[in-house]
Amino acid sequence: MNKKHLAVAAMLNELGVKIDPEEHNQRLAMQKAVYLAQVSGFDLGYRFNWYVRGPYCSAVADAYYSLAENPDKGEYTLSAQLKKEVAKAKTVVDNNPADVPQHRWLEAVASLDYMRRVRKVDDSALKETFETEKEWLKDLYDQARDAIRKLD
Amino acid sequence: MLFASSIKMPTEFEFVTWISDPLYGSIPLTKIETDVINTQAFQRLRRVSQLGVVSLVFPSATYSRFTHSLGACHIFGQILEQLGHGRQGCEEQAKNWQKHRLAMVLHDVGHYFGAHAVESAAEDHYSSLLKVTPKKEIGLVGKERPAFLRHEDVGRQVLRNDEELRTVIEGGGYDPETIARVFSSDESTIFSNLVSSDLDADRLDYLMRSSQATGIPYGFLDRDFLIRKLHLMDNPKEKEDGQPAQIVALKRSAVRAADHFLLSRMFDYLQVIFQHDVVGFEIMLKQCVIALLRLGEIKLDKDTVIANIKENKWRTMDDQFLWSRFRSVMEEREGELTTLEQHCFERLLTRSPAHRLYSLERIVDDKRGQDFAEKEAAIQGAIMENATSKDNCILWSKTFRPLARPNNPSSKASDDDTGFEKAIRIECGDTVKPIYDMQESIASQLAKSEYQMLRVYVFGDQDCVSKVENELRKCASDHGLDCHS
Repeated sequence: MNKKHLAVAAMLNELGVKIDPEEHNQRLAMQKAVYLAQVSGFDLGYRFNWYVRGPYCSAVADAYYSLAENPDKGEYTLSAQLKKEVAKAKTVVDNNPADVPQHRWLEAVASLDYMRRVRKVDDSALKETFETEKEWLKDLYDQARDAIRKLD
Repeated sequence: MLFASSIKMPTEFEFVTWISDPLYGSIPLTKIETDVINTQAFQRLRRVSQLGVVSLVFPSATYSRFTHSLGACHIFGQILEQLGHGRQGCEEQAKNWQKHRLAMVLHDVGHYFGAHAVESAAEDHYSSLLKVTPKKEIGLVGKERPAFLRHEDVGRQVLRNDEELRTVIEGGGYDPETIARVFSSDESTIFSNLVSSDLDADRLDYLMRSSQATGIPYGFLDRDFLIRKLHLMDNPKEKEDGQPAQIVALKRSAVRAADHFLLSRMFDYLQVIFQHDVVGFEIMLKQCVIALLRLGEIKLDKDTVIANIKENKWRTMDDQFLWSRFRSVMEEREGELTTLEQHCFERLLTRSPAHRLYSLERIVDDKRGQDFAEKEAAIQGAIMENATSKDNCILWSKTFRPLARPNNPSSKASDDDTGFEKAIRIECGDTVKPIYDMQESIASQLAKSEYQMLRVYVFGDQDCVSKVENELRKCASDHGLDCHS
């Protein structure tokens, strides 16, 4: 089994994101969780592009489709050192507001972070950009803005 | 009343340079484009071949990423003119035209030397820095980090950190970050589909140029017709998804031309990129690069690449740099190479093709192809169990889908899967469909299919070939592989 794929499994297990590519919402959650883990510090070299639902990487999709067939996927863990590297992402995932589905929260946080970190949207324009491009998530802007500060 | 011809176009959008090109006759460039291609970072692309080791099999396939980048810029400009977004419009529109042309001319500026095999080798090498313990714990082997940059990200770093190039772009009134966002597809705009999709400027130029260079005729496209049939229409998904208000689509009358383009690309891949000797040389190149990385002769981790760009060393990292490293390793460090690596170095440096011993090539649909991973694992297991095979051969496996489609065909196309965004889109009345949903298109059938390839290459001498054949015969036969000895 590809070691990078196993690292993705361990990453998702650490963040508490279920590996289940059959579910659309879960695919969204896994994409955004891997993105957040990478910016948090454990960079596996996956490259994300911007799509309407936020950062997306086809190689990450390959990883979770491949992991779906691995019966041990839930058992992989990160070493203590790597756990520290994803700790900021874990805080963000754990701060999921009550009543907000995980995929929605992760889409909001990862998209906002990508706008600021990768697309270099200026802080003064961040709110307007987010609310325009992610209209269906605009009620989460303030909480997502607080969350991405924890990733710095 | 003002007529278009009476409006003076700002001089910055006028063409000032014409470069001869075998595909288009000549490629006109503006002042800023001319300045960009004259920077050292861009001139490096003259010495980075587009097709890498393909020229060891098709000797004329030696064109560079420099000429391809100019071609992609030219085609993108033509498409924008067709869509009514050319340089003749208002200043904002002309600047947008210029921004996209700059992005296309710079889209490969971060490409590694030695073509895609080097990127693949770096990925394998840096992945090998991960370890998995028997207790299923993931950790790192040493202090070296597993992160490396894909060429689009290297390109972004070049625009950000190469002072000469950055100064030229900023001096022309453009933001290097914005240019990088365009070629990295980091924004959803009405033109995103033309930057990276099944029918983008990059692929159009690549296919035609490769066809001309290799002498393999499949890339003769109905290019003018395809471009003429592109147009902007209201995006039916705008309201539900926050997508751009307009979308680029082909008129329905161009379905045949689009099918032809997709088939041409498929043939090009099968006849050139996946040609058996080309693949053999690609494997050798990859093994040699992995050896260089393992021996510390080159470093391609993220931090080193960024440092090299800042110190202007990246400008000299071209194909000659790579091949000179290969020669010096063979002269000075041959004893540190594994048996397999020694074979690969010797064969690559003397252009001696590997022996393709067994192969399986088939087109399957989603249901029938499910035993592929099982076959791959069995052959790989047999190779690792046998001493001669382990030291002298490599199993190459590839699944190839000729066009974009949702990642999981068994589920309904969903918003986070990118099939629609990457697909050729066809206007159907008031709506737009990806070509794989058009019943009259050959692409609708191709989308259900996958081309699967398994090949066993032997890199040792003829004696090795016979031994490997004996070692793997039963396993290869059990799994339906053809013997080529």
